[in-house]
Amino acid sequence: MDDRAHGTAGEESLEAVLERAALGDREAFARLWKRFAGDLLRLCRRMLDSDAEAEDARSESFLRAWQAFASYDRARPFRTWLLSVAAHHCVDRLRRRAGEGRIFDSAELDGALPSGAPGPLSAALLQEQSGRLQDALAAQPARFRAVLALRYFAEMRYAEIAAALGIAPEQVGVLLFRAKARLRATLAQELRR
Amino acid sequence: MSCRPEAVLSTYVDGGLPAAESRALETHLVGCQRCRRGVVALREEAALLSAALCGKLPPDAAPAVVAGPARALWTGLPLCLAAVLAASSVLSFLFEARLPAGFNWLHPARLMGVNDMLWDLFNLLRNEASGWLQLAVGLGTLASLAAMGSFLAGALLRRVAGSTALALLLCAGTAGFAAPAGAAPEFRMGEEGGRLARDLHGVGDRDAADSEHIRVEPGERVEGGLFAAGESVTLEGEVDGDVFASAQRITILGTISGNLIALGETIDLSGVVQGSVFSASERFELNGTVQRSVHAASREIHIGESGSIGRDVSAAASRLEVEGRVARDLNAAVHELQLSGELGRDLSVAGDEVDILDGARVGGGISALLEDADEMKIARGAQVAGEVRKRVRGETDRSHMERYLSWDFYSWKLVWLGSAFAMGLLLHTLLPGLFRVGIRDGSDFGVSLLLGFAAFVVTPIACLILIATWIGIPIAALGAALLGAAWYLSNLVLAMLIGRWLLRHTAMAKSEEMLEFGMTLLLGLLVWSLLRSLPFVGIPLRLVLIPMGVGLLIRHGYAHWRASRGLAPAPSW
Repeated sequence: MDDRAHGTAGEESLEAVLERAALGDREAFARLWKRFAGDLLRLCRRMLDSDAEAEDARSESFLRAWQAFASYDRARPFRTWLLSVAAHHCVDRLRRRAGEGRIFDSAELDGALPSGAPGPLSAALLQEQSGRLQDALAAQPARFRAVLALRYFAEMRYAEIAAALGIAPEQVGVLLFRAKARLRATLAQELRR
Repeated sequence: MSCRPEAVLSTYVDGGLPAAESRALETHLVGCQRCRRGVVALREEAALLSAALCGKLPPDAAPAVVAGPARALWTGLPLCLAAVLAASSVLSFLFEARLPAGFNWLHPARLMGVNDMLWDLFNLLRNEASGWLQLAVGLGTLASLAAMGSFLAGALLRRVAGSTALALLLCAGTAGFAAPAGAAPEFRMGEEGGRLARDLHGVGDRDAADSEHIRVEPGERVEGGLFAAGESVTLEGEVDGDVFASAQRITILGTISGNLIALGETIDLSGVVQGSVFSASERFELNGTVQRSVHAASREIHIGESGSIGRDVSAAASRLEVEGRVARDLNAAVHELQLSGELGRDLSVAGDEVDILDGARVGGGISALLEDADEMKIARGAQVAGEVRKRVRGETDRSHMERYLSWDFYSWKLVWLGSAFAMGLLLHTLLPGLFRVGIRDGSDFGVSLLLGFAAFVVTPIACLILIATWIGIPIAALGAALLGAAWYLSNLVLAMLIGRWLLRHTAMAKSEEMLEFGMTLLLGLLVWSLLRSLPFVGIPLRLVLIPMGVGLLIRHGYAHWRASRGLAPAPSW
């Protein structure tokens, strides 16, 4: 998906707003905030699993993005870049929360993959049970929530996810695979109940 | 390149595979259905995860369902009312209208003639070509189940709209059924209300003062049929057409040129019915003449010495006494049968006590299904032209084993198998969720079993109570039909469970491809039809597993219903 917020009719295009923001226009940043605040909050909520903390994290990550705007590469979609700034910030928060700073344990990622992982859940089933899917997503450990949110919500590439989470790019696939397997297991258990 | 582990497929779907590896995998996908399916499923899953994480998935309840009830009620109610109105006006038109000669069969009362013809055909086929009959029954069952299935599917697809419409139709049907007892203006007897008696064409209104007792006097002639309900109905005159009679006491001394359809406590038929008799009563006494067939359900049926029936008798009764003459077959399900009269062809009876007395004559054979072989006594003075065959219920001796040697047995199994398979495929297309049921553990099995047994105890009792109220008969019929359908469906679900289990747990198939629906169902059906036909264990197996399947279906349906309304899953019970 490309930037969802490409200008709608009667509104200034995202390109133009970014142009102005690059020149340090405060009003442009206000517009960007208006456009992406929702997405930012959603990602922070997904990653932090706490509404109050997510609000904080959103403001703080937007501030960081503003400060780091010079490093934004215009060739990348702005939304992905903004969300990756937020992801970095959330990972920092998760690390602080975990105390010892290692939430993405590489030893665990190097281990053998679960061999008997259940196959993909049927789309029809998931569609019927979307409420349970949300519950199951929320019930995942932070590292799995983070990787799922970065891949499927922020739509980041593997390298970007790796950078945001501070792991090797080749470990992203493993982490995603594990996250999905665990999600399926949670759902299956949930549905059985 | 061999099949890749799911982790690799997953990385590929998420766009994380290096370009070279991606290309190699794509080449492999061209030739490998299994991996291709895996990729498709993973893609669907990824799309769903995206939608869920972006908040684009609707909440559990589909929007149609959320908005459904109110809208469905507003559109469904007028539609149903309109349908009922239209149906009743067509019916009343048909009743009132003098149809041109060629269209007489359209007259609702005349449709009974079709019924008669079907009974004749049934008897003919049963006697002359039992294999064909079985085939026809199989195909008929299949067709009706298919119709029922598609109806149910349609109702389910429309969900709330469907069920609301169904409920309203039921109410309307019930009301329509109850109408002859007091609501339908065309047939009302007048001031007294409640009782009605009217000549179908408005000829000869009964005397209102004596409306409890409806009489057609000797010498009186009613054209076009009679619909009569009251405390007693006495017919001494002549009716040209069919007679519908509902009364505590129905006495027919005159002549009816059509059929007699009678519901009453006592029915006394000493006159002449040129058509057939359909009756339900406490006691049915027949001393007159019925030129066609008699279909009767009563506690006691007595066909007196002067009673004569031109064709067949089918009877369900506690006690059946035949002293008169039946020109063709007598089919009876009774507690007690006494035959001292004359039977033109075969007697087939299922009963506890069968007495063929002195002077009785049976032109054909006798086939009897008995509780005990000694309970059938044939007096020395009785004449039976054909063969006498006795079967004892639940018998597992040689005669029971003999069925495995008959061609009929296998052809019937084949018909069953074929129709069940076709039905399974149809249902799978219409209601794919149906076959997703499964048993995970012992408690699952136990709960389903209990639920199934409860359904088989409660439903018949509820139906009987409903039947006793008269106006509840349509609902009772629906309940019975539903139970029958559940019984049948249970077979399919069991077959599916067996098939899946076999394919999973034997070396026959380790790949998912083998678990395709048709294959699984067919294998399951084969094994299940084999199991249920086994001597000794077949019947107990059926008695346990089929209710269990019904229980599973009920639980599945309930869970689906809850999910479709966005309710939390049912507590485990």
